[in-house]
Amino acid sequence: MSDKKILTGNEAIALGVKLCRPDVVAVYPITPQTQITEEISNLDADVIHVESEHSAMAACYGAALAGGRSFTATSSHGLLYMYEMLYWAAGSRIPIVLVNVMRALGSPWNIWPDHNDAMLLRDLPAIQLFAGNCQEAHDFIPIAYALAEETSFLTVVNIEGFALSHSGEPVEPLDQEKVDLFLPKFQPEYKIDVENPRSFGASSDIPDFFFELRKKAYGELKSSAVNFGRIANGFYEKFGRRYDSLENYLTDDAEVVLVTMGTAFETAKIVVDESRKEGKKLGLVKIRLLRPFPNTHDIMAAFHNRPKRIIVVESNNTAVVANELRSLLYRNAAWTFFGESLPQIISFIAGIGGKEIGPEDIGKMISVTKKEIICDNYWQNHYRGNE
Amino acid sequence: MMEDGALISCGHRACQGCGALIGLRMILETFGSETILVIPACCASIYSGLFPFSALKIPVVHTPFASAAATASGISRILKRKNLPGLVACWAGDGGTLDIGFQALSGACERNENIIYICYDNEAYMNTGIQRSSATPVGAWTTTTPDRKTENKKDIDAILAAHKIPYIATINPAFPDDLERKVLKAKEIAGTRFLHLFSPCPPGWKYDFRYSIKIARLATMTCIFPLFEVLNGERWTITFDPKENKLPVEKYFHPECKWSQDRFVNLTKSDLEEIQKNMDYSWLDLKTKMWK
Repeated sequence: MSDKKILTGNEAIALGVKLCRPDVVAVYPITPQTQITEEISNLDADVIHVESEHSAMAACYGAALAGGRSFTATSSHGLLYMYEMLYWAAGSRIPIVLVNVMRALGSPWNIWPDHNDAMLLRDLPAIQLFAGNCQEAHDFIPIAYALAEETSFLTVVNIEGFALSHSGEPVEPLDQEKVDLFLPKFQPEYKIDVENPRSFGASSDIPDFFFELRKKAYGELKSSAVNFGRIANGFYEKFGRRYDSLENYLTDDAEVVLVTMGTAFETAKIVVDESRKEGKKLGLVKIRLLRPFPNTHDIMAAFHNRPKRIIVVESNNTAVVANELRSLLYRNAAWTFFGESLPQIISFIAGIGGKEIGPEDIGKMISVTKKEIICDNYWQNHYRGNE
Repeated sequence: MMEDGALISCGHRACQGCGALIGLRMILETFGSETILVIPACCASIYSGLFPFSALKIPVVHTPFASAAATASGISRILKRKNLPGLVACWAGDGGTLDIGFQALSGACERNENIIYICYDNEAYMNTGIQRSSATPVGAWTTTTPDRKTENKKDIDAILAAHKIPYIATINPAFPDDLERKVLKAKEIAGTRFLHLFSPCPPGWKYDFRYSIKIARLATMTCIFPLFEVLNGERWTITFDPKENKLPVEKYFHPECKWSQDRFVNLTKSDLEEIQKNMDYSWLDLKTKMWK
């Protein structure tokens, strides 16, 4: 066990990247990711100072096809600029790790955190992780590489801008030797090889080929949750920290469960602990793996006490996570499990554009929803009915 | 030197008389089988063959429209880092070079990436059905300039010379020896090299497909597409001077015979006078650059 250091999220990520020994890093700055760019410019890797984020992902695509381990990071508008290449890279089924330091989308300009940029990635055939603290931000990098290279998926690690990227927390840096054992050398099955020429990404005359590729990709995306579980176990064995796709806190007997991603978990935990002191049976779930979305088995484990109410505290404009949860519970095994007692799933849209989510905000949401209230989406500071 | 056509199979999907494909055949003969082509959205995306087949017997990386030079940069870094064989070359149309692809190309040039960027210039967005690009010559018909294009052709060679890359050359399939010499030279130089290939396009320029080489030759004989090379953005050398065989631009735009290009049908006599004047000036300017 090495000593802990105080590292910001960006520093923790840059160190994680360094430990994974990338071959190529494509760097382009954008607030609040810039420090990652600066730190990784010093690596023993080929640093490509690209002229845009679109080119950053293109360079990673080329490098990965040539058999190299590649990395880039971006945020918000950079992610948007990169978007076309993200689809191309994801559809190519080659491993690339991308860190997205989450930031609001303009217009108007806003550098503060929310999850709207990450939500743009949800339909990609790509794996998405959300770090909730700087240790997770650090640990998720080798996990992301192991996952990406095993499943051939673009893998994105999301952290909140400023709240995590610029906040110092105690982090136990991983040991290089152990990371080398955990993360073997990248050995792709297919790559650019002049001895064995192939064409990559060519168009097809026949729609069926494309359809089969996509069907296969989304099927494999779903089952990559199994890969994640196995890799996370391997990580636990080597490094002693356990990462499940969902972290469940006091859900066993909970009647109301809060669902969060990212740093909101820490805030919600305060509310849960306070409520428990008052005898209210609150529970809390943190989603770490958003894509693939938690399966019915994990959801049933989190909600096996059949809570009456699930409140999703989310930082995106359109209640994405609540809607996905609603959709999941409306299907197959979950539908059977809950039967007639389907919970109310309420969305609490908070933390948009960096607006702070305090424990009192979540507390208000809980006390409001205690009364008879329409199951719906609510924006921070706006409630229907009486408080 | 490889056997003619050794790396390109029959059954590729290029149009009859495609100037670009003729050029590619010549280029690959010199580059050889260790060439890796990076192809952004363009005609080549299609004529190189549809999955599961490829007409090119070399590695081909298809990449989105704006990204050719950036993708090639990533590949070339890994080849160097891992000491792997391969000559990384972009094979892009004029749109993917002068317009949407320009930013990535400029970035690669600025970093002096070890790639050869070949622009096969058929002077419009041909793959999508003949829409105007900044490489379309003034006066030309396209579907989006149905009367005529009013702007002059963007001078990509001068722009890239300003980036001071090691090597730039204009090449023409009607001048195979000149082309071969330049391609071989480009192969041996490290850093970013740019080859500008004049690529007559029968459906886009509206001429009988038999006359691609004839038209290509006329372009250089009239000095509309002069043959030159630039070393390090500073040393300009004209590699073919038509001298007393130089032809008036009329012979290219309005030859009034079998190899006329209907895309220039709307040019008037005074347009041609204007073009001749501008062309004479450019040719003189090029000669002056040689002596700097």
